[in-house]
Amino acid sequence: MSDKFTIPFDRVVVLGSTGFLGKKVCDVFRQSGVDIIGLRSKDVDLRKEASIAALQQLAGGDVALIFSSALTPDRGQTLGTLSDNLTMAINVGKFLESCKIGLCVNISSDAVYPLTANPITENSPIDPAGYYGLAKYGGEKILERVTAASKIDFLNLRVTALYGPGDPHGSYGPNSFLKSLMKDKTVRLFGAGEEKRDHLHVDDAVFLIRKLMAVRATGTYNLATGRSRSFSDIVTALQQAVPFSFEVVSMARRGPITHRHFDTTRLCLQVPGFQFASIEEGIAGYYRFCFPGT
Amino acid sequence: MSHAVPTGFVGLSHLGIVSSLAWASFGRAVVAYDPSVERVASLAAGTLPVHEPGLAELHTKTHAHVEWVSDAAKLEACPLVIVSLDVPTAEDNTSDLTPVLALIDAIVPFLRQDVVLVVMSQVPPGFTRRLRTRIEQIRPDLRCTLHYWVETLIFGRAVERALRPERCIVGCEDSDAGLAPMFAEALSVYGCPILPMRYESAELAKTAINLYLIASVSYANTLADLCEAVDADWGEIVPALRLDQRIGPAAYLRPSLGIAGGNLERDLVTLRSLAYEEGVDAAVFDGFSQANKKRYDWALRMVNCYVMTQSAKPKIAVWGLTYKKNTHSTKNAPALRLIRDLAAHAEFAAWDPIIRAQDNLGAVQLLGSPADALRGADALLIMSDWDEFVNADLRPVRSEMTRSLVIDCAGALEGRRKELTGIEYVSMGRRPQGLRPAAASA
Repeated sequence: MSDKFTIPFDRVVVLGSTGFLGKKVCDVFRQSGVDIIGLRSKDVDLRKEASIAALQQLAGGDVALIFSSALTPDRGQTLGTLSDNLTMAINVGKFLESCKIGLCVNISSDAVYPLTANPITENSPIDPAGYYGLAKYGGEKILERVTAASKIDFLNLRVTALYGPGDPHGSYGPNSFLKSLMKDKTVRLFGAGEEKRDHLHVDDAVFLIRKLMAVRATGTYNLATGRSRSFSDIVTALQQAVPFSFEVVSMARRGPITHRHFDTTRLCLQVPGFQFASIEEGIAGYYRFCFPGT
Repeated sequence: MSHAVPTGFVGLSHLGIVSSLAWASFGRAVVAYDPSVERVASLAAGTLPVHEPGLAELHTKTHAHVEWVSDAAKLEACPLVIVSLDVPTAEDNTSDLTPVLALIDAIVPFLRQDVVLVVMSQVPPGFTRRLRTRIEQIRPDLRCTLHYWVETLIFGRAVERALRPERCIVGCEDSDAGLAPMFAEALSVYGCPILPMRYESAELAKTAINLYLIASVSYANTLADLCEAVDADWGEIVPALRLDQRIGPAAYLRPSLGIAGGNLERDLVTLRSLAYEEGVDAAVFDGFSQANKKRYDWALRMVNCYVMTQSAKPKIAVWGLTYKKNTHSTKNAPALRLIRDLAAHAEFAAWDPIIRAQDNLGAVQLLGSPADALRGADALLIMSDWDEFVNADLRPVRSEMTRSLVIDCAGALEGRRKELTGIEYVSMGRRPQGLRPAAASA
């Protein structure tokens, strides 16, 4: 993923540059020579009104803004985090009302969708189950309206379960499995891990962002592979990748077995032929990152 | 010798041409009217604007019985007048009734007293009863019996269906009124059941038939997808279904890229709109509609998975541009949509048994033979089920292509699977043998 590429923008500004995806975007884009500015909450706290003036300093020319700042669900799904996430979107919106830029890329989440029986498309009904998804959807609508009024191109990306080296959250799945493997050589599964989810490697997510930006795509896309795998498949992939045996502990599941599938036709038309890392490849690489030298 | 008293046919589109010629084939005189002078002259000269098997022969056989006219006054001689203009549909498959209404408005002043006026155009429930009021407003003095006759034209089989209908469904003012004797006698030549019913029932029967077909197509496609997912073979299951009396041998069970051609789509839109207007919960229609819209994605997925992952700008051969065999229609044809969608990512070379040049072909090179289209191709997409494809010489598939990969979206080669040695074959309802898709492709 470190090949050279160009982006049709003078500069890319990433808000949330220490987050899992934001950091990867900064690293990859910077390595490729893209003029990129990454901003952390320490640099610009988007929860504060003063952030708008700070962002205005960075405008000028054909700038692309990637808004990936968020208080993720591991920081708590409360009215407080909902308020903070919405405030960040509002302040970015106010900045966009005041400055003309080339493109706003909003990093949203598949948390905006409810668990449904049919594969999810960009047109599937929205019904967030938690405050995080609600904030993400609120952010989408705020930025969609502001960019439409300001005639700024808007690319909205609903990212599914991200995994890979650098994950700071340890959410259930590849990330928590590798984390617990490093900690005590144990993997903890709910039930027998029957649930299927669409797991997206972070490198693939960055590649797709760059591809969509390169063709100046606009509108909403689900960033997903289109092929869901069960958590037990991931454990199997891990067993194949790891040169030692580990314990798989089954925990009582908290609810019924659910699955989530994505129909990625819309994405496919923008990046035809793109091959995602298989879960086996992704897990093997992730393991090598976590256990260097093995 | 034809019967001396002529029957009028009004509106010479696909339906009108086939119906008037089929009517005349029983030795009956026909006055075939269309306001377009050019169309009438063309038909009189034997030039047919539509393709249907047997239609040219029917024209040759019957033209002596048909008077092609663009003067509505000629209809005064006709005690029975049949309105047979196809209802055009917009891009979103909604019906445009304006041309049919304009046509009827134009002929009403010339109709004779006690005329039997029959509407055959594809109108929505409620149309015929409203039409009676409209006619009374235009000509209060006209004594007229009004019927709605359900057309069951199938593209590619229109002549056969017009000559030998399974049944005649006829809408009447009320259930007890029955058919006008003259019309009943005219229909008796078919020797099939005649089903009189209220206007509204007949109008709804037409769309109900098509909705059932849509349901079957949606069902078959979903099951085919499931077969691919669990490694079952839909081709093995279908015979079991056909032998079930509740399903039957002629059921629409072949997987496809969904409904196309415009007629079924139109009826789905019509019924959805009617249910909405009347406050009837018709979520099931939405399901059919959504399933059909997404069905085209199967072709896109296969091309993406087996072709685009192998080459940055592949050359793709396409057999079949019409939406199905034995028709000239490309309305909602998946072939043209696919070519349009992938124009920036692939080169297309196509062959079609009937299409030679058309404005909406998009970025495709149209070639003179199936083998020409295959030359140097990375994949062959079969997009419709013409007999020419079903019986195609497969040697050029092996010898002319860069890679002998066939993605059969129409099931054209299903019956020849044993002959496909050396060919990578992808079809609906079963996992491709010996072909591995990419781990996951966008």
